[in-house]
Amino acid sequence: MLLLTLVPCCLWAGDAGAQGLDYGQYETLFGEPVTISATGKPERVSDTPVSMDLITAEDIRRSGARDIPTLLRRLAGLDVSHASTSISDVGIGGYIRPLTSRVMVLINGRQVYYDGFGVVFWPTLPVEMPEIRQIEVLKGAQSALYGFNAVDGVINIVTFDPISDPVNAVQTRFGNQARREVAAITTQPLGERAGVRITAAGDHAHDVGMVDKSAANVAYAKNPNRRSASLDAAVILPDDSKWRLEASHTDVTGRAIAYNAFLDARLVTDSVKGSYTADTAIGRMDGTVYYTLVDVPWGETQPVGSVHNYDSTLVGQLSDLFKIGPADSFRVGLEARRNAMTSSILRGGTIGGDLTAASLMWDRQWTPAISMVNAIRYDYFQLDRSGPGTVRDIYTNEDFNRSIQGISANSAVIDKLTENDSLRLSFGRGLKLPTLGNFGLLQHYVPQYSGRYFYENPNLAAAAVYDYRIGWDHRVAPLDATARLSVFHDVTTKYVGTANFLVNRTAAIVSSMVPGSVTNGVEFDLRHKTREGWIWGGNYTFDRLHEHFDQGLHDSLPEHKINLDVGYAWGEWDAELYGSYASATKGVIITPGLPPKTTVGRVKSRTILSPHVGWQAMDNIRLELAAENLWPYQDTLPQRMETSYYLTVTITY
Amino acid sequence: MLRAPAVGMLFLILAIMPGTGHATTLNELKVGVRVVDFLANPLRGKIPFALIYDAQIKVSFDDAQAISNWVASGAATGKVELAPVLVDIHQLDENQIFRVGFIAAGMESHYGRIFDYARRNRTLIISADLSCVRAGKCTVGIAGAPRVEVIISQQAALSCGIEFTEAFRMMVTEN
Repeated sequence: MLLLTLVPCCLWAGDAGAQGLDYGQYETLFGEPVTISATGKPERVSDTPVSMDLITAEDIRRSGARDIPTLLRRLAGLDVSHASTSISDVGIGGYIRPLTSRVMVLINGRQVYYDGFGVVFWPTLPVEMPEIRQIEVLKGAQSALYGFNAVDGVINIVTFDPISDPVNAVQTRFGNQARREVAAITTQPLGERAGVRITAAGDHAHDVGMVDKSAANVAYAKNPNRRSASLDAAVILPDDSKWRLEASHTDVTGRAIAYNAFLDARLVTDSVKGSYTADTAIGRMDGTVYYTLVDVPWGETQPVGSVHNYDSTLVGQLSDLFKIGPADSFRVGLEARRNAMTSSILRGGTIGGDLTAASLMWDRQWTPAISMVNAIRYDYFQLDRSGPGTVRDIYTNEDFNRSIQGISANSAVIDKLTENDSLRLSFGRGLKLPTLGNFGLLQHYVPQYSGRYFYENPNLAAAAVYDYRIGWDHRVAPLDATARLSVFHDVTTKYVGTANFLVNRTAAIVSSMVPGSVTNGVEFDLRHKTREGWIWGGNYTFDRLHEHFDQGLHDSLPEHKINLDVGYAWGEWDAELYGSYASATKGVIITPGLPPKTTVGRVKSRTILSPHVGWQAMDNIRLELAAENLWPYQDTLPQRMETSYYLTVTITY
Repeated sequence: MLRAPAVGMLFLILAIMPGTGHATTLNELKVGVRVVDFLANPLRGKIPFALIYDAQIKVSFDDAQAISNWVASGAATGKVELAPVLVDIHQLDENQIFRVGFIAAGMESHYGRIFDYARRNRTLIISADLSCVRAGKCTVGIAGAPRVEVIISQQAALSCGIEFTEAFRMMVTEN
């Protein structure tokens, strides 16, 4: 039952939390990172009841990694697979499929998960590594804070504040596979209470590593190119309220795997976001409005041919954060959004939806050691379609006039058992809405399945995902290290799958809700961090996925994953060796042809070894020699990641 | 059998004896001066920073002097520019009105008097002795180790007309 799914899975995000927080000021005060992503209220990372991993700017600098998925792979419980040298998928908690994301990804609270496609195209993210303050990773369902689709976790990328954290750097990178990258970042203070950061970047490499180089496949090879420009400006008004304006443009080409075919696409994204934060008599008010366009001028696949999609999202969010008494904090949030996707498949028509949501968070400090957070959110989604519909449409626009509603909930508690031990318990009920595409974009003739037609379905439902998690953090004083042991159990009630139907007395395949899955896992992480001397760490993840419905990739997941790194810093030098192992799993094999044929095969276990050496040649010049992988490996069957090495020069001023 | 009561008595004597508080550490001072940045009504310009000590208690004077040196040298700074002023508790009311004050070590017996001053003059009083804030005699108590802790006495804050930003309140302990 392998079917082309250009636009699989879920849709919508929600309240992303206040972003007007001066992270640097609080981090300096408390001597540790702070976050607002975990519960929607500002808190120290060590205090949050929610299971969270944090990648700091220093971690990024010392990692040698050149992109975010490479950093994320190092965390326990995260899966990364590559469709090409530039396009990758990231999963949390055991579920990972090509071009299908169950993880909400945001930049400063703005969703960069694309609703229409149900996917995160990582190269389109308008952010460069030197401007990232921290990457916050929340595991498990977080829909009560972030709305539909935050069912396996949330990744929030927080950039430096243009007023208080100026970044001025030029970074260039050269390597094999014709890799050449450049990023320039400049921050201009506008007095003491305003600033603007402007970033421009361009990346290029050759598309290498396609395993089956048959002419029909190679026709879809596409050198990954990326152009990005962004602006981040902020001003603090005399009453200490804060305005922030962020705008970005990216233009990316690359090759992805669209389940049973290669997708060769150009993606152009534009976004603008304005936010306002103020302390008022009724609490800390945050207002955010953003607009994101994702234009796919062309997306080529063998079964469907050329497609032009145009996806727009307009979001408005308002929240009030306030504290009553010494122990109780609340956050009330409202959200409205309009998402619309216009596609050549719909012959210029549009499928879209309006979402309204309300949320409430309550955080209580029961004792100095025990605190608890509870959050609930109600979402109402109204689907619609306009225009002529698909060529052999079996639906009318009226069929799309329907609504879906649901309630998400999160609850988490932390008990600081001793000075060195913390216990976290959490429960989440997330909601995953089918993508706009799932509702009604595709209509596709499938010769290899008895010459039947495949239709999407406007009557799909939201699926609930339940996450139960226990985590124990222990400070290992003799090693000056932190250990974390986590156990989780995830239940997905249903998926978007397919079923056989008679349509107009003809056998057809139609998108349908099918039985879901269960994932159980254990994660163990031990880490020692310091600025000088030895740095080391590692983690082991065991997770097992059991799907009730076989979509060909039944239960495909590397069950055992190990990450290890050891580094040493001395004076102006630092060096690190990172290694990763993942056990065998399953994946799709794309056999070229018209239409291409897809079968399921075994992805062998893989090992990655990535060394790097950095030298701070002068106060403002850093050189770094790195290998991303010393020998080729595969985490998908159509793509082999060839040995990659590069030199990075970073000049700060 | 006599050992436990004897030890308890010793601790009691130490607790009530003036001049036995621990000297303020630089880390505590850094936290203390940064707390000033989070007032709901931010202070502007160069703000006199009262370092309250007792001239008759050496440990207190030495601590105030060390704090003054640290602040003056820039070792402990926040966004608000603070100008340290040594203030003898016995001359507290004879000085200018301070908006921010820090209590030096060994001042336990003067907490009541300092609180009266703070209440009259709407002064933010900070102490590295957490017993002061727990007793509601200081608005802010700070600890620098093993973990940075900031404790706010809501009662003292209310009495002294001190308000902090909402985000800051959510990251500290209030009692």
